[in-house]
Amino acid sequence: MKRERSRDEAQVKFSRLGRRRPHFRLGWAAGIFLLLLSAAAFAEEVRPQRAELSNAVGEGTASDDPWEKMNRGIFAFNEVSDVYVLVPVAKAWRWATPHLLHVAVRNFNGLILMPTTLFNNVLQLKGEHVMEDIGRIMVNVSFGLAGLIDVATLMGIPANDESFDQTLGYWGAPPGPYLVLPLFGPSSVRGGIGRLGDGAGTFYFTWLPIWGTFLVRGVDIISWRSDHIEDIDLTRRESLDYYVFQRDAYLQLSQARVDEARGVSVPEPTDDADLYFFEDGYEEDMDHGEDARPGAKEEERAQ
Amino acid sequence: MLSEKSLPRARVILPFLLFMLASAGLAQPEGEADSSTAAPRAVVQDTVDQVLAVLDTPDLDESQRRARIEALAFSVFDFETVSRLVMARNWKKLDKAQRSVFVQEFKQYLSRNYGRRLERYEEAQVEVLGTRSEPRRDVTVLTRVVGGQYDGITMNYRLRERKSSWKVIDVVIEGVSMLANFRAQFAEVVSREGVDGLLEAIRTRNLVPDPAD
Repeated sequence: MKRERSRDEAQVKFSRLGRRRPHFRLGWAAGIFLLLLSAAAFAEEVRPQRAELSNAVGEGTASDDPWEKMNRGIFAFNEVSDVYVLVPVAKAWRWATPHLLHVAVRNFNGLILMPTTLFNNVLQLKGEHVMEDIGRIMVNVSFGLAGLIDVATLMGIPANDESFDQTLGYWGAPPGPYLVLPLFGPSSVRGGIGRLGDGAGTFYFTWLPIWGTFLVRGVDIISWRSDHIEDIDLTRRESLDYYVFQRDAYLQLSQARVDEARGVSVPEPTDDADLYFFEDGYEEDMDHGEDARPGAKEEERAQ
Repeated sequence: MLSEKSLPRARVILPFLLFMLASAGLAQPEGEADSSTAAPRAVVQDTVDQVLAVLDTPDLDESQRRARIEALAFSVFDFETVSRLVMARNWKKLDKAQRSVFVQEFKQYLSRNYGRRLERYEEAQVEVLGTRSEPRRDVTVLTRVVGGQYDGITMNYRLRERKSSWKVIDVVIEGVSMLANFRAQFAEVVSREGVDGLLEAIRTRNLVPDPAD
């Protein structure tokens, strides 16, 4: 759900990339590339520090979040905007909109985003996905009444969802520090650049006028939010630190999506000793009468 | 049909094919009939079936439904192991009494969390896709939600055998480990407010009644 949200919210900014001004677009591409380079350099700098910190896992806090103070500030702002603006609007939307219209909006928006997904699949050299994306676009534009009905899903064509963030990760760009974007929420340096890329792509590829794209994207954010009022509310209420919840979930999800893009579709067995095994002086007592020596459990299992 | 002419070739090819098949079977981590993963797989399948059965029972009111799902969660997690893993190094900061308080509170917290989430899976089915053997005899059972609001979401359950029964120690949703997420949050609270602050925070969450929605 987070994934959808990030895509949803990603696009809003780039209307002025005008389709009549290719030079301007080239300038953007160059700018993004430079940003990317500096981000990569920056992340390289940050990395040793992170390794050091991860040794202290469980003691300290954010290994990937050197900008925590600023991030928490933006997070607080986002929370207020969400609770006092987006949620009331989403509730009104849910109350006022017939289900069919709701679904049609989501479907139409899905179609608008497809060319960007297709483009990312091309950049990730995913031939099969590219074919699926082309098929999906063709089927939904024609049989799906210009995207209002998702015929492709009924036909069993999978709905891929690739982002430029994923593409950058696929080619080895590190995510860089965690970064909370105003209104758009959890991201990273690479994620922010990815949003710029996806947003530019969406506005570039669609046949809609700029205001039309804005409208569709905006309405989709509202309709998406209206689908997730209860579960986000639940998470907010139940988590001990919602900021850390978001950060950790974002970082894990983003890593998983890059793994997926790299073709680790069935993930490798995770010998995540840090996460799943904590045998250094940590197994003592608690276990009723079990041998508490480090490794004792293993021996027992191995017998 | 093996003609006389093709017979010698078949003699070479058949064993080769068999060998290929056998090694393919070995290389395939999701072996269906693998006895070492059959037990954890059955645990997940049973639990999933029971949860869906509860969700499908029409004449339960909300609190009954919650109570039943929480009871299922109670029986399927290994709370002691999860407690240690979630606390990691902070586990050592708890004395014996605090540890058992922690396990009790965390048990309630987790069951509740898990229960509230699961009750949103109405109209969904859960497909058990296969299993994956993890290091040191852990097993991950791979599942996917089909239909409903969360259609297509992957949910993987990591299980560990202790005292000859398989219990869940982590749920990984779309690549996000619940265990790791709790650990990050708990570590944050401990670093700011100490272990007492953490215990207090979990207890507070457990005491808050659900808002009527």
